[in-house]
Amino acid sequence: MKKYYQIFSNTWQEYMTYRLNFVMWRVRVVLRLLIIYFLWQAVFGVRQELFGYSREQMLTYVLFTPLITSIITGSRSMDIGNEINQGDLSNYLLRPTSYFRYWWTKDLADKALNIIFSIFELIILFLVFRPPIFWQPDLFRWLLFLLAIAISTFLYFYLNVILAFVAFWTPDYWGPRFLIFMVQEFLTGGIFPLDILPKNIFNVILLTPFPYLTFFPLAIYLGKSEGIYQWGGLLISSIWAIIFFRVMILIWRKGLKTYTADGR
Amino acid sequence: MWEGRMKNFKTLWHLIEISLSASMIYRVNFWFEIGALILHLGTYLITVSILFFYTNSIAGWNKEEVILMIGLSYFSGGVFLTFIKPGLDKLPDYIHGGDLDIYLLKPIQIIFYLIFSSINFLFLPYLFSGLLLSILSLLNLKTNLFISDIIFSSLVLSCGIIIFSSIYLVLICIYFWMLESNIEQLFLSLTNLTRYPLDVLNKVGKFIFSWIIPFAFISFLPGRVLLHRVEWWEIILVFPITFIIGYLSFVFWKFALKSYTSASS
Repeated sequence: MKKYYQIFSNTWQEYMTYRLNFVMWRVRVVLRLLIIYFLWQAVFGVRQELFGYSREQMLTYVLFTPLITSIITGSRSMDIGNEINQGDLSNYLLRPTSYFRYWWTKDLADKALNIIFSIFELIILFLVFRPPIFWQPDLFRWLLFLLAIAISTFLYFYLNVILAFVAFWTPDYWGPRFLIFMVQEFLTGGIFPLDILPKNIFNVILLTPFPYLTFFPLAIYLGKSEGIYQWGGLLISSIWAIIFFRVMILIWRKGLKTYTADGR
Repeated sequence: MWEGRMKNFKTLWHLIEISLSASMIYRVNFWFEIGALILHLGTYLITVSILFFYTNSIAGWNKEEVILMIGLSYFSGGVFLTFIKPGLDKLPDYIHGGDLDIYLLKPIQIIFYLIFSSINFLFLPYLFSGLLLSILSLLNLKTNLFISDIIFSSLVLSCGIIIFSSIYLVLICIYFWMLESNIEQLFLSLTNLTRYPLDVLNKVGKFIFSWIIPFAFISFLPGRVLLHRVEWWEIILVFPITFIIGYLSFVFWKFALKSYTSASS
């Protein structure tokens, strides 16, 4: 446990070394948030309800999105691809640590730092704009919300590692990740809640892993997930997490057999 | 004099040829860029369709007008990504690696050399898709367009690209003094703003992005010229602002260049 604490601590120190990079990243997140916030304010105009969302619910969705994204998609494990390509994976294979736990710990360090900054930014935005915020009073919904976040965090970690493992077979490992990145914000519900899409499209998207990375946890929090859809969502995200976990292990085993430490 | 000009033109042409050869090496990237462009543009258009599902107007702009903004933003973004950014992006590595010496010794302006030898033709689809989208939205809007509208809109848009590139050059110059900055990435992320009418922002935001960080000239103002929604003084003001920002960035570049130590070379 102590060695993983050290990895956690080292990751934070890496961020502190390149703190300007990190601060710039957070400023970008806030600016992006402000653009979407003002856009939705303009869309609502004088209306109090739109797309089945009250102004309070929609602005809560928009403002909480970066926080949820920080928890679920905050990650360092995309660096794995580069390390495989450079032959640096060999270093890890010789260490007395689990490779997956190593990267999971680095991811946790990234998430923790981003969460702290997200909360700090949210407090400032609340103080400046004083937006109406929806506060979920039901404790059970809070538990489901946290459960959905936990499942999705694992799901994203496995997906991220799988995309990086493409580097075992090709130096152009960034291709699939790049294409997914282009649609990720849209399909995860990072711009608008997905349930305002036409019903058929929404139902299809629910079968993919993407909505569980942002939209679904927030839908639970806002009380927009009901009955079978709520439990179905938790079930589908769990199934995706299990599938990705199995695929990740399978690719890891096959990849190691093809790994030649090129670049060393 | 004529021979000198021809020589410059030949140099320019050779540099463009070098850029084209470099772009063609990465053919797989080209298809990834096309795929990314389709996905990126698709998500924007779907988002706009969703936003206008229950409303005809957002901050006084209808759906086709917002699509015009997206088109103009893609067009100017395409020009910047294809012709300007690739060259300027090479500077930090050259500064830190001490490789700038090679280019300083060439009998040609370094910025000029970098830009024309680094044109990334892979981003041309952004430029063309933006142009196509703008034309289609103007046809759908059935606006009475005069030649003067197109000329003034093109001039304002060109000024927008010059301003944008000048600010980007200044941000890149920071690498003369710092190993890490990433501020240029922050600047680029602000371009999301150019895809929506600035009227969605509050008064302070609109003022900042119109006159202090003048992103308005990239798509918002050219769009308003085409839609006959612009005041004459706004167009007139664009030219001195472009000249001042362009000149100041050039002065800053010259000043920054004095701090180059050729370390690591």
